Amino acid sequence: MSILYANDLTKSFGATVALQGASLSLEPGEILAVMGPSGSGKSTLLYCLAGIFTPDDGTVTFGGRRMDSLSDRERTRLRRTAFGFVFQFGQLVPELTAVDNVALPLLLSGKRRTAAYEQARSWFPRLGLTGLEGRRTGELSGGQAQRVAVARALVTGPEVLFADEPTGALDSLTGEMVMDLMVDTVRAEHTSVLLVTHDARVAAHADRQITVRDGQVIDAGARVR
Amino acid sequence: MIRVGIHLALRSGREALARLLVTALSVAIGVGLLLSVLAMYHAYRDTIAKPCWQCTATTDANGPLLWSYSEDEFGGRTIDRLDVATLKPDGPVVPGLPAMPSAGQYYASPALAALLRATPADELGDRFPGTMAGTIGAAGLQSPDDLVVVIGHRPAELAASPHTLRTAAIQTAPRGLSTSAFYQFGFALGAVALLVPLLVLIGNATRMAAARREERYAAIRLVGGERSQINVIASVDAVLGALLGALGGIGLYAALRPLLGHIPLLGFRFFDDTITPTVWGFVGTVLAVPAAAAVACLVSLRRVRISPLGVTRRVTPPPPRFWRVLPLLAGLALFTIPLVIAPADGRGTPGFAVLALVLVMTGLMIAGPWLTMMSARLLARWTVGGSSLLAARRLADNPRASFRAVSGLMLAVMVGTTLAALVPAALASQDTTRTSPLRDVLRVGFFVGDQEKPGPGTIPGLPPEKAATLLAKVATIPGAVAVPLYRPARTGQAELPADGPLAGDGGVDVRCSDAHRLPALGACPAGAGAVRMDASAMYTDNLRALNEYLPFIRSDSPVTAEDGSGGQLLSDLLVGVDGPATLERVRTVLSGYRDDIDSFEMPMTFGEVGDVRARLFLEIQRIVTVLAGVTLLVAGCGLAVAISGSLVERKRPFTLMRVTGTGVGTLYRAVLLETVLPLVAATAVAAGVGVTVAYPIARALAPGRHGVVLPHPSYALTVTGGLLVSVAIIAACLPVLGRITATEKARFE
Ligand SMILES: Nc1ncnc2c1ncn2[C@@H]1O[C@H](COP(=O)(O)OP(=O)(O)OP(=O)(O)O)[C@@H](O)[C@H]1O
Ligand SMILES: [Mg+2]
Repeated sequence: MSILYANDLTKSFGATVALQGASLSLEPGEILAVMGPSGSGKSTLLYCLAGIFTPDDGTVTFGGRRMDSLSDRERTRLRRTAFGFVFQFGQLVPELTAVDNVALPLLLSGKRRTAAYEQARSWFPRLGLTGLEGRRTGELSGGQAQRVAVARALVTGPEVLFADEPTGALDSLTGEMVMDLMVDTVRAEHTSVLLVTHDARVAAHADRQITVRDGQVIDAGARVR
Repeated sequence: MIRVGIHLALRSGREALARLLVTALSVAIGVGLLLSVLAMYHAYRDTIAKPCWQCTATTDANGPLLWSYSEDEFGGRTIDRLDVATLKPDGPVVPGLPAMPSAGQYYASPALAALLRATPADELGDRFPGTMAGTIGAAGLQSPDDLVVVIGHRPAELAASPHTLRTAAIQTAPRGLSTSAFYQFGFALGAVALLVPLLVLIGNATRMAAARREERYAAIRLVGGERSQINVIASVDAVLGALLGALGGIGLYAALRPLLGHIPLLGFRFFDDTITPTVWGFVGTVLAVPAAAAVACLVSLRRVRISPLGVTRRVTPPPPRFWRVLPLLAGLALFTIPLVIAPADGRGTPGFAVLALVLVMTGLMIAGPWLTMMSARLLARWTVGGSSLLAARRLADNPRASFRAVSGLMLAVMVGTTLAALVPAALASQDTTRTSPLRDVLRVGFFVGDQEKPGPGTIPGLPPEKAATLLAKVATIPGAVAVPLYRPARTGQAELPADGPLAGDGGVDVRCSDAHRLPALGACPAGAGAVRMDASAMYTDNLRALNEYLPFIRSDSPVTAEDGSGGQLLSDLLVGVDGPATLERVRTVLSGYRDDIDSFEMPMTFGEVGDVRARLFLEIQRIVTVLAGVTLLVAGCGLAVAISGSLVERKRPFTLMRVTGTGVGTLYRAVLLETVLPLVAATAVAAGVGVTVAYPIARALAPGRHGVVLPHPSYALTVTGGLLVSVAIIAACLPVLGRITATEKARFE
């Protein structure tokens, strides 16, 4: 029983067709790598699955519910409670500290401040970030910032983590370290991951790989592990 | 969520804190000045609403009061003098008095009481019979500086005077100020002129670097923040700055407050306790400014779509179109037409003109983006190079934002130009010459024809015996030189020319031996004992006109045999004085002859008469200068805030450009261009609009002198000065650019 399931998605931006009949499914606890050339529609697919975009056509089902027909409010609630996000860069609020950023989703859910910060702090050692809690995120290195982003994505205990080129802005060594930490953590948390990347070494961390070309999933992907 | 908002606003680092402070500071300046304007307005309303008991004119044959009001002078200031006698008890009482003074007593205003203590009795105190019973309270005065005296008499003492009227009711209606329309207009002009840049400043300050915050809103949306949560967080951010600013503004007002008491808005100071924005003003400000900030913030949020991936405009705004100029043109027409059609009709015009002014100013704001876009096109066409390309791009992309930065200053320039054009025109039309050979000569008239000055009675002139006593008294004052002028017994005996300054029957007879003592009057024809001279110019308050008529006596003045010895009535008296003390002594003597002098024709020297006019206009000019300065200051703050905001907003692209090798000099030039260009374009238009607005008013002020408005050097000065100040402000903001784009702080991963 897949946790997230997309069927025959289409999405256009004006004249540009980004998705044309893309389908995929994500199993609980699975790490799924989405590969493909630049401009093929990987990010668009991810945004549709995460409820950031609504597809023009086709269905997205999450936990047995149709996502594409949910209101913006409900999709927002899902993002807050069930999903986490790690992007290439820029998803952190630069003028806030690292721990502020990690605590932010909890605060938005209405959690008490002290509890939220306690919980946020507990993630720092797990991702090798001890001592960086008070740093402004504008003053962190790229690898550190991505690990903070992972912590922020996972702090609410999401069911699915959406990662779009999480190591895209990092050198290979740092990228490798971030991926190792992230994979270890999501395995421990039993979180499913949709990992968009064009880097085969990054995709190698996944359980399964699929390839997107011209807005279609051309290779449903065999289980690697 | 409000707590989260406050938390985020306060914990977002030094830059955010600095932004909060700048916002608060700008709002504080705005609010402080706003409260000051409100306070002055309250004092103004309070003062003009005070009853004009001096204006009492209704007669009642059975009334309880004998009332004789007159005006006197001391040291260039007017003394309101009421001589009153009570016929029946329980009559009305002048406001500010515990009771009407009984015979032999008088009440003086505090300022007059102080003056009485400081001045020898023969210069002032002797004018008021009796003893001081107390001071007049604020209810009976318009200003703490008012010189007012209410003197009690026995009924018999007043009954005989031609000025006395019997009344039952003291006027409770306020004074119908002849100048009030002018002041009201000036006040409204000033308030509007100051308010608009103030609002622009407050608006710019609360909106400062909205784009920087938008980044954060996208991040909040990504982690599942709802729109309403963003609204709350954003509002908290805006309200926090505005609230701090409003409180700071109250502090600033408290600091300004002592100065406000010295502003002679109506030509005199207001009572200190009337200068207050009132409790409601305070409460309203503290509530309204943050509320307005929140609303402005929410409105600006409505215009953007904050998605988890970033912030996009809901719709790309179409380029500004030509229709934006139309409201401005309509406002100008509204302004110009009525004044041109009926320049003399001052009554209905001020309110209308204020409306038109508001339209012109909003019209300028609406037209601004279009002007900015047009100037960007010109820039793109006429220049080459990296910085001008950058500037033109920015201007064309977002003419509204670029214009917003300079809008306050543009209004300041417009107002400055209007005032710079108006004041000299008003002054020129008033001929405020203050020099004259007759400057230190007191003039007093004893003849009032009832066809000229309707009043309780005609005053024919001073009879010979009375005149002789008066002249004898004046002669005892050292330094006083009296020249009596007599009414001709029969007109037509010595013919005056039919036209020219000597036309009409304003002729008086003067003995040459007397006239000789005031050389400025002129020299008699040889051998003449007395001549007839024209005295009509003597009662002008325009010294330039007076000087044109001098000398009154010429070699061709008609010789007359009437030299005052044949029982002629004394028509006027000229008294040359050698100093202020002498002058006041002469006036003290004259105050015994109040019944024989027109009660509104105060004995004044020609110099004092000229000074009254000049002082009034100099005061207006001073207020206007202060106002223009404050407006410019406010507008300058607005510009600085807007530019710093626009720089902070584009921190990222600017840093990127520096990282990729764009020199900081190129960026400086680009920013300078993109701000100076709309500024210059807007200033040119504003100056033009200012002239257009000023011209009809100046025409109305000085009919028949259409030429006086243009050109005046102060135009160029105001405009160039305003521009230089702005460029200086912009230049002062540029170092911010260098700091925030320092490459060593760059982070793009
Ligand atoms: N907001 C948008 N507006 C218009 N077109 C868009 C938008 N987002 C994506 N596209 C277009 O849709 C197509 C797919 O874009 P998408 O970002 O999904 O590609 P991608 O596979 O993620 O590429 P990359 O590996 O370079 O990130 C592209 O042609 C892109 O130009
Ligand atoms: Mg992509």
